[in-house]
Amino acid sequence: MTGYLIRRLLWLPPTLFGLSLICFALLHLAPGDPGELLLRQSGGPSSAESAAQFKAEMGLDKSLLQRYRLWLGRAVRLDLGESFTTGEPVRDQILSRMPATIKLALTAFGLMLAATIPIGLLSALRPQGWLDQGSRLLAVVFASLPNYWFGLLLMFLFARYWQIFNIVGHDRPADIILPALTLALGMTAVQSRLARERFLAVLSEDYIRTALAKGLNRRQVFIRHALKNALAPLLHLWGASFGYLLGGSILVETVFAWPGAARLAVDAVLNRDYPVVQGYVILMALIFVGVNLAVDLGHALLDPRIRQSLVAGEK
Amino acid sequence: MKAAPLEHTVSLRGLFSPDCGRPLVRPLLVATLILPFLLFPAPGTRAGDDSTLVVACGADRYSKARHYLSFAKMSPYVWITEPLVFRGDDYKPKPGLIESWEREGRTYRLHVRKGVFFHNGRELDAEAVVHSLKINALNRSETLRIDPESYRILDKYTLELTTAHTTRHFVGFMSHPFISAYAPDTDFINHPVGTGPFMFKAYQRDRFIEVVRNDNYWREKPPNKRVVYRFMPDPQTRLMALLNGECDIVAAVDAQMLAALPKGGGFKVLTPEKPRSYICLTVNIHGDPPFDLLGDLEVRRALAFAIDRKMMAQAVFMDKARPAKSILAPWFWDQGDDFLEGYGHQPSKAKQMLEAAGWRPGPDGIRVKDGRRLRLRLVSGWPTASALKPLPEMIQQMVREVGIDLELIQIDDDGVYYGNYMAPGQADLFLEKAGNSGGLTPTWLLYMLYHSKSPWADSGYRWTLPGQEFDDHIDQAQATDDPAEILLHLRGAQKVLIDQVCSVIPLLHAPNYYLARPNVEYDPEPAGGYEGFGYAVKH
Repeated sequence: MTGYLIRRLLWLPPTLFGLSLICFALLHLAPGDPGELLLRQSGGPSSAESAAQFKAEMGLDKSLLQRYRLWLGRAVRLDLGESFTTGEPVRDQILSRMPATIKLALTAFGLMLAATIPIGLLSALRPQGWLDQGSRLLAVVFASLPNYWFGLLLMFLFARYWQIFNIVGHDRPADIILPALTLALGMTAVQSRLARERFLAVLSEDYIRTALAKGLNRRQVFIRHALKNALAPLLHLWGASFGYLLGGSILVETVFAWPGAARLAVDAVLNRDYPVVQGYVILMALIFVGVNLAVDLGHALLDPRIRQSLVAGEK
Repeated sequence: MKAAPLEHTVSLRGLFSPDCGRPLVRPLLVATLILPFLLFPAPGTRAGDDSTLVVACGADRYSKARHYLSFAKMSPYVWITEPLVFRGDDYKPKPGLIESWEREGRTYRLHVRKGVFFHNGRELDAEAVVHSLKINALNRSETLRIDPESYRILDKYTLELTTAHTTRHFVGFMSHPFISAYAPDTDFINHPVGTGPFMFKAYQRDRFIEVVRNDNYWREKPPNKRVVYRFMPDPQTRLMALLNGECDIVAAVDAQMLAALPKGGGFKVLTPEKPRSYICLTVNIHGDPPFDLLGDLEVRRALAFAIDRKMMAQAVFMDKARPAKSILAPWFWDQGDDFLEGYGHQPSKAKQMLEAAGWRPGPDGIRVKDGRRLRLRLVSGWPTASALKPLPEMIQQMVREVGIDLELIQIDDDGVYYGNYMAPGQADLFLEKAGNSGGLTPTWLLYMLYHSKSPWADSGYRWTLPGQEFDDHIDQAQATDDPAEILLHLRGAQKVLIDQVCSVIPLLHAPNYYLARPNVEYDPEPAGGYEGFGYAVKH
């Protein structure tokens, strides 16, 4: 297991390097010159000379390769440069906003798990029952409609109509509920159906029937055998969905004026604020890699077959 | 003996029997429903008390970068600092922190108002004005073009400077909020200290900026002790926050928000009597194929006659916008608009003009000439693409009536709009909305956008440049102090631009909208175009 972990960690630098290279190239291929954009938006016209001087100060007069080399040189020292638009260090800017996004994603993730497992289970235990039919219908509805629309609907119901929550807020713990619920709904709809299928498949396995036929306590069979085996493959889905919740929070952050990093990244893309976008992509990649690693390890802990294959891989 | 099928022996459904699944599942289900409420029991609360005014603004566009210099000076304008010179209702400069001025050639002598103090207690003087002007120069703007070696402090309240501008209306430039007074020896980037009616209290990016009243302000003190400007990028969120009592005023209102505002409830829609923005079509008259069709003056004019401005004003702007004949509003420098012929809604005339130009209706109604369809591309771009919806679609329908096929492209990205369409001239028409209050001087806007020697002439506006006659009018207007002569050339330049060359097709003079709660009084007619939310009265 340790060897596996080290192997995975060794893959991290080349992964980040490749990613940063692709991101850098894509950003610079996009139309729009950040120097011109900034000068245009800064309120006054500039002569060609002062515009050229401005670009030189920002390092935009250098070749793409030189710029990448400079960026990389700083990045390996954990210095992600300064934002073109705000002048603040990118690392500080992202780190100051990331907690809000992570808090939102974690809460949404928690809500998703809390709903997915019982809905999936109940639907599997009574296939074609009212809960199964209802959850199928809701899954179609929630998965088809944009979370932007849900956000507005939840705002209307819970803040405007029932006046339980605020429309916009970040200071009280309750302020996170509506954005988190908005973010979680679509994902919960899909995940609960996948969980249902997984539970259904496990419950019809021979070893479950064998265990029951041997007269084992149903709860024991259910928890020790069915639930554990059903959850193991779902872990991967949940890992991927956490990434989605992190990256997919942009609309929710916009609707609820939630000051997270996703909004920062989108504003940076629109302003061609390359250092911020680059820094955000790297940080997200790190989180994705970390979550996937944790999921793989979790899967191995739950499933001895996976554990054995990892150990065999080491040999 | 044949064994019974296993499912007859063990029913999977038994898992859901009271002794198995239910005890586990039920608590899970209940926990799912009540968990959020147990974890976060705090109830929602309404917006601030009577001494605090909450203003909902759009996305946070402030920047603390030294080269940007927008913090607390861009909209929302929070009045921590004040421009050195104020603007009158007619947009002519009027005494402010600079009380009076004299000019000799390109050298200006400025007299600083006495008895004005910064928030930190330091008195405003000539040294502070020089400091502030040098701060402004950091953003590389060509607005003032002051020779940095030319500053001379003559006494505590008098200074001299020389500008590279040949225009005689240099002082008008200093009425822009960007050119504000800052206290020397303070951190103007993170904690601006000005002379304005409000003092900086706190700022959190993308969340809010908070200011408190300056009780030592040298002019009329605002009624509110505290004003919080909250950034809410989504228009519907701003609207719901207002309906929910979480803000008192909504500062950034678009047409779709107006349509969604519920009837009743006493919410106020406020608009200034004098619209400060214009909406126009900028025409690519020097385009290369396939964007060369509007090189023909008759086609441009026909297109201008095909548009029903009154209908647009009624349908989209609740009849608060006015059909425009000019770019600069009629009340700007009292120029009026009778000097322009303009373009009324005359579709039959448009059809005749197109016929005369050789464009005949094709089988689908779209006109054709020499095998080429009369198909044009209209781009509605950043930063107003969303706010101008559904004007492009309306224009598309109107010009189709006369046989013009319009392809619409709407982009809310400056880089793509400018880089892909405007700079390379990859469209026939650009739908634009801009403030004509950019009129720091009477010729500022016209010079910047359409004069061939303007710093922007190399940009996307080169496709629109009307030519030498226009340039001559602007040059002459800039070279005189005589108001009558300025007005004459201001009108002459617009006559060339709109009636003669038709490289700009004015559509509407559109107001800014504000929404307010029933208990809030707000004057949406700010003097000189400066927004004054801090002066709103909350009952």
